Amino acid sequence: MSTSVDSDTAVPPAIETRALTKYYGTVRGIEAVDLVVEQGEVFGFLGPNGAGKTTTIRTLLDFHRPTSGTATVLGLDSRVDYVEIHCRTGYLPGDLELYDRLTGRALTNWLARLRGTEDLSERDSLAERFRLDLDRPIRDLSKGNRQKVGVVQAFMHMPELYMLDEPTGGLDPLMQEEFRVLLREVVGRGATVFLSSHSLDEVERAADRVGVIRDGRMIIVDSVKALRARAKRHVVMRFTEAVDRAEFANLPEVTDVTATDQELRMTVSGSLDAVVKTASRHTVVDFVSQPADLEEIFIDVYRASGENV
Amino acid sequence: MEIARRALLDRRRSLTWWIVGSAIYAVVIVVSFPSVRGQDELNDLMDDYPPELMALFAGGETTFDLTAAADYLNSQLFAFVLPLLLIILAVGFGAASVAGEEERGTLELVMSYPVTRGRVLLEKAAVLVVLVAILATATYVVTFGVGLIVDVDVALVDVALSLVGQILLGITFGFFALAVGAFSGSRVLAIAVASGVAATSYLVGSLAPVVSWLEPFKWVSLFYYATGDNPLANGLPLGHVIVLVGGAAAALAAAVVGFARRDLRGR
Repeated sequence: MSTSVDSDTAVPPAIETRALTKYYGTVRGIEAVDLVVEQGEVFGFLGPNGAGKTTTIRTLLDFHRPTSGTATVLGLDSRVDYVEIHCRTGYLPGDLELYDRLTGRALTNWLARLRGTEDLSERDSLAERFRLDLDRPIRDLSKGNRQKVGVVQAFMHMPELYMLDEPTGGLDPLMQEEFRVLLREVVGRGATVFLSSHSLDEVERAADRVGVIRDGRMIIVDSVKALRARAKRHVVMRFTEAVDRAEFANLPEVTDVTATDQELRMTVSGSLDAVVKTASRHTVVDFVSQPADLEEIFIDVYRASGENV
Repeated sequence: MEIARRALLDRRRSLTWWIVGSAIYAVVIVVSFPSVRGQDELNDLMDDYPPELMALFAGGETTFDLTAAADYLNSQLFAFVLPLLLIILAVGFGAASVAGEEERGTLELVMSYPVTRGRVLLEKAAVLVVLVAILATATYVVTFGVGLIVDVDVALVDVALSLVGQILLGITFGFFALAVGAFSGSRVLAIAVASGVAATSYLVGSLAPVVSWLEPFKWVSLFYYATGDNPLANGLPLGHVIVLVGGAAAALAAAVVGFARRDLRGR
């Protein structure tokens, strides 16, 4: 297939799909997904459960074969060169299932040999870093500790590309933070991270760019900042006296204003500037601004993308 | 051979128990032989049995001499019990090692490593061969080792040929289960289909000699080739070995093709 790479010196995208479509019989998996992930970035792949995130990853890794369309990973054809792709990729499955009679050490020893390496120094330092006891049988580990085994095996050969499907599930907040630091480090040495998640929180803290998938279709690809800016916020303000809702209802980008006693609630899309300036005419007791939850953002983006078509 | 090594290590404990179980059974059968030997009235007794019933339990043999070691061991151990054990072991492993792991979800991580689907399948198949060969050989060694003590005299070459037939029989049904699992991704389906085919194959193979309308169909039964004509007494024709090897190879080839062409099951 032809790619956008014209000369030998140019770096191919870490992931590039063209009209990638996967149906399971008549059941939709993904539909005409066009996606470009550049090398060296953290790309957040965001969508509700069942949207097609795992289907996309499984197709990229040749577990599933596309119904139509093509995909390249690190410039390699996903169908033809899957062994080399796997060589240069670290994968953390969303439904992680390990040989649970083995210890973490025995499992990772074996997995390292599957890659043809005996070098376990990175494995050991990762285990230490995430405080993973490698000598306990995996069946005796908590969900979080099993997830750490998954993280260790995906990172221990220092691949060029990381495909991580819901990576921080089960990790405690401290370890999630450590995980984000780790992502920054691997990107710092030039690797690419493809981070799939249903949690905007997880993605926005780690990713540079975000692609949103819904019902099998990519509905937006943008930087985290831009996506956030498009997102609505719920604002709750409390004043020392009752304030007329009309003062706010007429502001641009403000909707759903409701007033109860000294409290005002509203939804703001875009900048909070006008709201804050209007509020400052009164004595503010409390001001809470919360980003809309993910589902609302999806619905918004979804609507917007529907209108644009 | 890392995948094979892992699969074999995972099975070493259960294989040990398989060997212990079948060895105990074999010892009981062999040490009972001296009390049967010379009891001609046993043979007279069996003359009254319906030949169909005899054939069913003795792998198609109807005219056998219980007081001769080869016939005794064949009817008590090698025509039915040992093939049954080997097939259960082989079909169980064949169904579990690919389709079973797929359903449990453990195969997904392995498949994300730099291994081809063909390699995964062939290494599992190699383990199946080793497991069946070890269990069969161990049972033979115990049987004829103890047999030396109680004066069981069967020509060594026939023992070896009989062993080859048993191993090939187990492997072929195991590969068949592997293939059904590789095509479908379903462990239960693999076990069900392979067991059903094995049971049918046994019935056809053992009843064909006594049920006239089944006789023309005896060649579809793998038992006919592996155990049909008591190899302990009569050896194993080269043609039968070729059919068994061909059957195993065909099942394995189908498994490789089936596994390579489809989507892996996700959990």
